[in-house]
Amino acid sequence: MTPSHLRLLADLILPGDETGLPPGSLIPDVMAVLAQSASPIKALAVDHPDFAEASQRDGILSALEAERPQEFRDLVLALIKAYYESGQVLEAMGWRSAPPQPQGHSIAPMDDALMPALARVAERKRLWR
Amino acid sequence: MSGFARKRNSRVNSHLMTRKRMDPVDVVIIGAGCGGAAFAWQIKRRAPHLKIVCLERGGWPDPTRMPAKTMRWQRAILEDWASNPNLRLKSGAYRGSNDYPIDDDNSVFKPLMWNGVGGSTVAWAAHFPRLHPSDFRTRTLDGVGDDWPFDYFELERWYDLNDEIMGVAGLDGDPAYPPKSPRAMPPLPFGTVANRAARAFSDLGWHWWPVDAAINSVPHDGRDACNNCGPCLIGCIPKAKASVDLTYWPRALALGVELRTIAIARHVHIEAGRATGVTYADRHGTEYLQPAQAVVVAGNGVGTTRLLLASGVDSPALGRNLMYHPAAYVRGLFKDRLDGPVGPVGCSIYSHEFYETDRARGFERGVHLQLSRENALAVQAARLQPLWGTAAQAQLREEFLHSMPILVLAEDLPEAHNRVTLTREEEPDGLPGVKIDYRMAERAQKSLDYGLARAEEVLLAAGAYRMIRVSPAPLTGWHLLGTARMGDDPQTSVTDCKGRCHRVPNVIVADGSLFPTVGAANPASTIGAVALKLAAELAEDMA
Repeated sequence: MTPSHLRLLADLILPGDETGLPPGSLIPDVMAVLAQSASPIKALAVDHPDFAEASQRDGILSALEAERPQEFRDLVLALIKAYYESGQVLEAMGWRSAPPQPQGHSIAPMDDALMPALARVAERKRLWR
Repeated sequence: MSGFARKRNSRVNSHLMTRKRMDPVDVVIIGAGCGGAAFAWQIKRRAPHLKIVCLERGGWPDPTRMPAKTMRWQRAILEDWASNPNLRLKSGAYRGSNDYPIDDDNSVFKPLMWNGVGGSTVAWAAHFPRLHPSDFRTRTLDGVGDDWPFDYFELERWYDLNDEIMGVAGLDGDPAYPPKSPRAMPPLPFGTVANRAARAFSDLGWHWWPVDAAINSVPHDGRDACNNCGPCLIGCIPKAKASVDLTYWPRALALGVELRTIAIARHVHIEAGRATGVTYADRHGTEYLQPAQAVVVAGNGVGTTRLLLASGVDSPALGRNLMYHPAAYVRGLFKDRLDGPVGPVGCSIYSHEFYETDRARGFERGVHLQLSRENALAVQAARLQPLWGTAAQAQLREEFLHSMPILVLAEDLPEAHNRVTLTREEEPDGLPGVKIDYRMAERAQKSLDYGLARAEEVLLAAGAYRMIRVSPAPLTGWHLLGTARMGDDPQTSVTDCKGRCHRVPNVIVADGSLFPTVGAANPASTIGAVALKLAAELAEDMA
């Protein structure tokens, strides 16, 4: 199991996209989780005799997911958490990297144009029994 | 009493002399959450001469350890601050909630709770609706479920008082309810999603209204206004969200109630049909015996049942009739950008257009529709199907910042087979293990399907180009209700109308376990109001 194999595995699970979402191998925390993981899925995937074949890799992972669903899910979730809490990924998804507090967020108040509609609701006969 | 419980009782009683015996008190309350806190404040206020002690298995919430100001806040939602105690235990990290495992494999919905001072209000969304008057009379009005032993209007003054202590943001004049006391604060801000959804409800001619929220929209009661940070379920650092550790407990402590934390109630001692006290353990496992004239149990529909069953309270209905509020939701996807994961997650607008029975729909009772807000990015990613690869990331790209979820809550009705029972294992907290068996009724599924179809109409009217249904939604089991229900018949109910156990009348239940039926709306407002009512009655009885 070489570092390049682990990078391939990270990129299979979290490939990124053409509009700026980075592949998993470029997120240090993802690679750290993968390197430290004792999941059997990791070895079963990268040590698979056909893993070197790019066209085979999706199928190898799909088979592992079907055969060992909980272990597979646990590994993928561990990578997902590391990936999507990365500032780089949050910003690539159009979100800010700062946590929710202490800044909070601004959101729009109730639109004044809704007031007549709300008044019509208030004028309805009672809905309760 | 089962052979297992009898054997445990014998063992507990044989060790009675080795425990440190505390000074007797008048009332010991078990659980410092929504029901226990309101009960503690009310009984001490009404009967100042009574010595009141509350035992809470967890500690105080610690805002300095809440994760919303850290980069790991999304991970916390899935691990150490997950709403499900089993997930928190699995995380192995500091949790702030003193959890016990629950065998929920045989339950469609997974139980959610928080075990510490404040109870589940520490980690709730603070949506704070009342039940409708009809919810108290389902047998009389609709021929299903059971009537409560009191009605909405008998509870109304306690609803008002509970609203006052918790602090409610909302708008007066909602035709879905009888007139309520004036809301203390204006409604929370809507955001793009609620403005758009409100227009859609209006276009359809359907009822909608800003929710009652136990969240400060402006500074109130010495607490800040909400800054719309988003993840309400991982604790509220600015303390804008009302939780009973912030509302009832300071008041109760000021009156002289004693609150003991990390105090795990293990056994209610019962002799000749009367409770004599409670054995509890501290963080080191050292046991104490707390003698009391009355024992109040408020540990939610799972924890209360667990303790009472473990203590040998003998009632055929105890643990049965578990009701959750079956829940599902539909996410509408929009081409333009919406708000994302900001604002109080459960508090914007709701509709009770379809709440009351209309038999033409093919089922009795109704549904609650509630606009929700987007999940945090990692949470949404963790719930995708498929979970990995190009398709998963493309789906997330499509949804994130572009989705509007509408939650549908249906009314559960009492069914004896939906139940909480003990396992034969002893857990590390010294209590027997606990198991939930629950399956959703066909009627509830019909209600959900009906509600989801209405939600899709709203989303379509709001401009959604695609809808994704999640039905049922398993991680929605906050409402743990009905397992020690009130009623007249000891064969079919556990307590009387004052929450007193038929078989042990000085054991009083003061949480959602009491509910004979549950309506289709969130229960915290009603749990608090009922606790205030029962505490006033006990204070009078003990005067």
